[in-house]
Amino acid sequence: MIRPRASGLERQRYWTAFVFLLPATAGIVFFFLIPIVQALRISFFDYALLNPEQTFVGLANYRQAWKDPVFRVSLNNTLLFTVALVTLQTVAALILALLLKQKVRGLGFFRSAFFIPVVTSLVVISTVWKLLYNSQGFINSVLRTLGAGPQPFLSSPDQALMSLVVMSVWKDVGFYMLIFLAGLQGVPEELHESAAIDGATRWQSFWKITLPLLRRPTVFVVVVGTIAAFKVFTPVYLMTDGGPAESTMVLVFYIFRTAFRYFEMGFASAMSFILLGIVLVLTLVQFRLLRAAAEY
Amino acid sequence: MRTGHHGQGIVTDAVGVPAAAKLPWPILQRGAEQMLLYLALIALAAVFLVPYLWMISSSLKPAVEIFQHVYPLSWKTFIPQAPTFDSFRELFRLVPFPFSRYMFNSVFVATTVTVLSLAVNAMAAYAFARLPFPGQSVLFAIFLSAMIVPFEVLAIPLYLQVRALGWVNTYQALIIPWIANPLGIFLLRQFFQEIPRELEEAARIDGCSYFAAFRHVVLPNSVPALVAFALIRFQASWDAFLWPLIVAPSAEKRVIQVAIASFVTEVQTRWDLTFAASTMATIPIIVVFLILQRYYVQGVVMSGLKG
Repeated sequence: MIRPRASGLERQRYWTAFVFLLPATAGIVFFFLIPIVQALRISFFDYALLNPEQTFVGLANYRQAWKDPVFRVSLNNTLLFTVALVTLQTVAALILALLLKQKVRGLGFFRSAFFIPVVTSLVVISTVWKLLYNSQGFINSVLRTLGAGPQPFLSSPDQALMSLVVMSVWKDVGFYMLIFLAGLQGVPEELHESAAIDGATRWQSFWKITLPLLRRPTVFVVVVGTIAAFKVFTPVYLMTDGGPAESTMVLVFYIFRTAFRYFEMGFASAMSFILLGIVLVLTLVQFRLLRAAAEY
Repeated sequence: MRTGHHGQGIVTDAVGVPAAAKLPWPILQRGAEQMLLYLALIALAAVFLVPYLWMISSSLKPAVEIFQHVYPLSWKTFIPQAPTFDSFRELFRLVPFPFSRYMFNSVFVATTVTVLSLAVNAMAAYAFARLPFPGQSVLFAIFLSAMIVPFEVLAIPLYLQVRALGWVNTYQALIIPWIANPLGIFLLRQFFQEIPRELEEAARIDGCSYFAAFRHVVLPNSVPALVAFALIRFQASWDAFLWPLIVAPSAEKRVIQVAIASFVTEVQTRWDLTFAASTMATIPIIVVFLILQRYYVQGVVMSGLKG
């Protein structure tokens, strides 16, 4: 195809676009494109940071991941963490949004209270909760006051992962609540009123009217929550170090440990690409579901 | 903000006549329901606020007192008996660097990232929104793909890249990789596209360059979106942990989150210092958030974006 020569005006526009895009494009090339290509390369090499020698090993790192029992445990724990977290936080966020949707006084106060953990750093929250969960900590004190026995929480292989889930719900639920609140603004009050006149109970009108109209925000909350949950790292690093007995060993933490404590960059890169594969599948599912929800 | 709707109970509001007619005294039922609703809300608010109360009060207690009054629960659990700023004072006398050094590092890094990423991404977003050129959609697709790949996947190669540049334990390493932000470009582009074209065209007819139209027409009309983006960038940079932990662990370039983490992971955790440091890392952000809440909430809702 022969392009007509750019007119003076067009040339000015191209030139401006070039200048405007240059810094951002340079950033993406140097800190996204080049590293990701490099990572893919490294994942086929036996590459230890302390040893300058790199040997091509093909798919050996990926096979190693597949056979590595710790990798399997971490994948398993990540899945468990994700399913529990997403379920709890989605339901909790919807409940909070519905409570605030009632015409309450002090709406601003309650909304801010639920949202403050979202703007607090995960490092601080993990630190404070580590003490809340302590055997002599605040939560056990409340339990004892209520007449229940003290719980081991983080020091028990059975409870540690779920303790992290509860803390994560507490941190993020306010964010997802806002998404539901925005979605609820779009549910017209008249629908409920006319349903009520037709004799619908409140419960029926919630299931038949509110919930279907919340499809889009729900899909968003579930998928964004799933991707975020898959990347959990900070609480594990600060609160459990993957233990006890690897019960909180999750994918990103295991990758971090492999890369930055044992310096096995090749193996860690291969595991990173497995993580990327999972995230890409989840993202594709998100686009599919969001499109379906938009058509609904 | 809402205007007061009190006086109308939730029963009549939500369902109308039939539900209210179930009881002979609808006002009573309404009152009871209202009370339950508020009890639930207050209990929930307590669940979210008590950890902060505990953090702040513990930061004002001497180290020995922190675990002393946790059980049985009483006012002493939350109110220090002899409030003291000793832990804060000690933080500012730490060796080799006082805590103020870490705070400075965090403020400096987060501010620089925010300012630079506002400029760079707003310009890129404008080029995508208003300056069609050959290959634009391909370039945009590349940016979008960068949005999908999580940082956690990039951490290792990015570290190797930064190491090869000799940037380990420098401010550059903490700042430069985070300037270009595909998600920001995507969102600002959406926002710019909604500004009426005529405004810019009028400026262009008056002889403005594209840059002048961008500066004097587009940017002033996008203040809410820019503020929301700036807040989200600042918070993301302030909260960042994995990257600074990997790339700038030295005491000199340590940021506030890594400093707090180093208190916790030390063999003997000094909980008094940890609480004081956590309080200092948290309260300014919450105050800023409460002041700029409107923009922040709008930003979250507009995009549903995160971290």
